[in-house]
Amino acid sequence: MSELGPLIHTPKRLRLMAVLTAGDSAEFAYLQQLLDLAAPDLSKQVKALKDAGYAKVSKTGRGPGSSTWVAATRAGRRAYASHVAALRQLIDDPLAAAGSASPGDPDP
Amino acid sequence: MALLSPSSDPRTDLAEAERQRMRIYAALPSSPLWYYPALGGAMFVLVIGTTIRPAWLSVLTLVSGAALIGAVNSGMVKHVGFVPRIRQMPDPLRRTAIVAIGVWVVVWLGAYLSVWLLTDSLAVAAVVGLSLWVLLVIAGPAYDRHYAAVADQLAADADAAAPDGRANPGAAP
Repeated sequence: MSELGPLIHTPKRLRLMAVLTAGDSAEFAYLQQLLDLAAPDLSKQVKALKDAGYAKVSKTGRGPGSSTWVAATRAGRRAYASHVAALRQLIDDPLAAAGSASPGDPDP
Repeated sequence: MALLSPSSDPRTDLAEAERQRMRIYAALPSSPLWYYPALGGAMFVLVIGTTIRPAWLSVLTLVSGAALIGAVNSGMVKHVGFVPRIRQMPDPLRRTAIVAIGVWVVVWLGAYLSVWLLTDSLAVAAVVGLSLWVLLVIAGPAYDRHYAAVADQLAADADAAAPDGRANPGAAP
């Protein structure tokens, strides 16, 4: 059953997950520019996803040439797909979706 | 299913996610100027590698060509900052990418196998390798332009389809 994920529900994280699930991995600076977010803000969003097991972070290189890459985990991809499916369900059949509502399903 | 926030409209949320996804491809930086010549160079090395003698030098050349392809692609990924998944691409872009990759694999494999099976001449292999290089240097940027045009169109369509019609979502709260 499709479920809305409370963690992905915020606009910034929804957009972040939309990008991460479209690829294998994305560089931090590219995400910053694409999502138009300040570095601390993006770090905060990535950390929240990482703590939930939805994203993983890796670093390549050392010194000025180093870069940070973020990727969605399998659990993150599943959660995002489920969230999008739940949104579609809400749009297509709001009454049925509301009828099956189970408030406060916390994400991992 | 949990209904989370009374302030959020699922239609807006979905459009925002969709718009963000489309913007990925439109926002990707174009290939650096060195990319296709370097990739073509690696292909050239692989093709002539089959005709080089003695055998150990041939193997060394082939390994060098493969390593060069890896290095070029690694540099490209670093430059772009994003590794897309073909199966996650929107349909028109996926078709474009699959056709381009398919055509290139057939052309390259055809040339490679022909040289490997039919000739021992380094000169012939060099001509074939050079032809592949020229083809890649011309066709690569043309593919990039087509890809960018399709991506721009998809992003514009997603912007137009969004409930609020915003061109750039910016930093949402």
